[in-house]
Amino acid sequence: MFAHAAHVAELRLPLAANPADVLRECLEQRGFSVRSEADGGLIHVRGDRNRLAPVATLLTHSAVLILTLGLVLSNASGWREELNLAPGETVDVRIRRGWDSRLSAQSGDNSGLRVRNAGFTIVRYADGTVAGYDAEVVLSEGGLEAKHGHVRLNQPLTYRGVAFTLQRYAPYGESYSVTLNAVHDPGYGLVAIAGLLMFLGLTVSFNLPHASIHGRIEPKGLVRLAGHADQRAWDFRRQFAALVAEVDKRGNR
Amino acid sequence: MFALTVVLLGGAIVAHVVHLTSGRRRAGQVASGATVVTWAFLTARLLRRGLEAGHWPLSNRYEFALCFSWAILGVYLLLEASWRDRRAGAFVLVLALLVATHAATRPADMRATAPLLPVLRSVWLQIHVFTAVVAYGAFGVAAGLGIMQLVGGRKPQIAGDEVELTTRRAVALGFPWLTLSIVTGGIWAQKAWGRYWSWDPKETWALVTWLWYLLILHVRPLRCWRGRQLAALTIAGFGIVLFSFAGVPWLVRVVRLETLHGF
Repeated sequence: MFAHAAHVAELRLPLAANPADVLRECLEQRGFSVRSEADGGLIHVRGDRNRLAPVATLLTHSAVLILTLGLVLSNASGWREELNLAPGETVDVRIRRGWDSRLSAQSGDNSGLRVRNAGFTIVRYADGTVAGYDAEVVLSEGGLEAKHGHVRLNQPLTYRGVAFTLQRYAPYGESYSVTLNAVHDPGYGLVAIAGLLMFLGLTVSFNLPHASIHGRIEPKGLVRLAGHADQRAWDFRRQFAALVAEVDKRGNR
Repeated sequence: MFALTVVLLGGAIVAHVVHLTSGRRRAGQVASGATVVTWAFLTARLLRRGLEAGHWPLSNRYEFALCFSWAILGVYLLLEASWRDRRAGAFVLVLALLVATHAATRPADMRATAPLLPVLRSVWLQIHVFTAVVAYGAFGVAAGLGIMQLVGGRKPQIAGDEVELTTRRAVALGFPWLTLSIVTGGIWAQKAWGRYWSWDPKETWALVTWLWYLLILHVRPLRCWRGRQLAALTIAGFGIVLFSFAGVPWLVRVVRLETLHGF
């Protein structure tokens, strides 16, 4: 190990300074988790930092699989329905496999859901510029009102896995007609989770790489150090040199 | 705002060039000091703009360009502190100046503060754009280091393994943030339009950018893609970033493509 490690050093410390303790302290101060064991006259000290970092690579690549699964689910089971609603009008929400909503108005299975345009408001800032749009809708199922709510930009109304988003509006007499999208996308959650897992995995892999330092203290005070680090431990060479210098300084003080 | 930013950035660049060519420690200290002052000035101005507008200054290309320039300086200062080396400053700051110049050439109505458009009123917008800013800043620094590697050639005082290592580090810093930016953009799109991906030109180029930097991270073990080749890849990557940021809106306008990113 000491002959082939990428980073090696050799120090001679007085036994009175207790080299194993000095090395342990220096490693712990740098965030290494340290364990040591005696082997005959030798003392082995091993410090590890970010030991579980390799798991992050697994996390990142698992995220790719989850993302793929999410995309497949979105495309296989997702559907979108564009709903044009005059003021007060009620329309059926139809399920059509696939994403081309333009064809769905005349075809598809009835989802059992109906949606009514109960009003539309343009929200304005104090200076008169448009701050948002608010469509009030009533959802019904089996002839009974199921949900009464608002669809705003960036705030879809969700009912039984179907999200209603606001697409457009147009003047209609003294009121407004609105165009809503009814979207059912069972893969979206997986895609979002996969993306966040990927970010987590990449962040850990690139910023918290695994590093280990192995010290062997011989009976006469000779301290041999060997350092190993993931290739993404960008500054490890400098850190290893600083550790060696500090162990030397403290041990010979 | 722009004039003083240019003066400060220009001064910092000159100091960095003097430091690079003379190796004088004092010039290096002045260069770092000027960079910190420029960054602090930009930070203060962006905060002030945000307070005036009542929202984070991330809502159009003018504000994004200013934040982009700010991020290049910020990431560079972080790497300079960690690397304990100032040689890359002259190259990186020129890119920050280039991006700040793009901001200055935006139309007056874009430079004026305005309330947020309805579709931009989402916390996901703040996260999506801020993460893109951080990623782009890191890629700007990587490109500056790449230029340094190419310009320095075989001069050991300019090029070398340390520069390459720092280039990789900058790319590795930016990549997770670009990933998060794309993911949060998808979440925002799902909430706003009911679809997380629609092959919008901006989305497509974000994916191209992501794939390019993924390539850079994966060619690391290959000897033939080290040194100048890696430098060329990072510079080309930054070209893609700039195209994605400034070129795509131009393309959309000229070719009349449909886009949801019209702001």
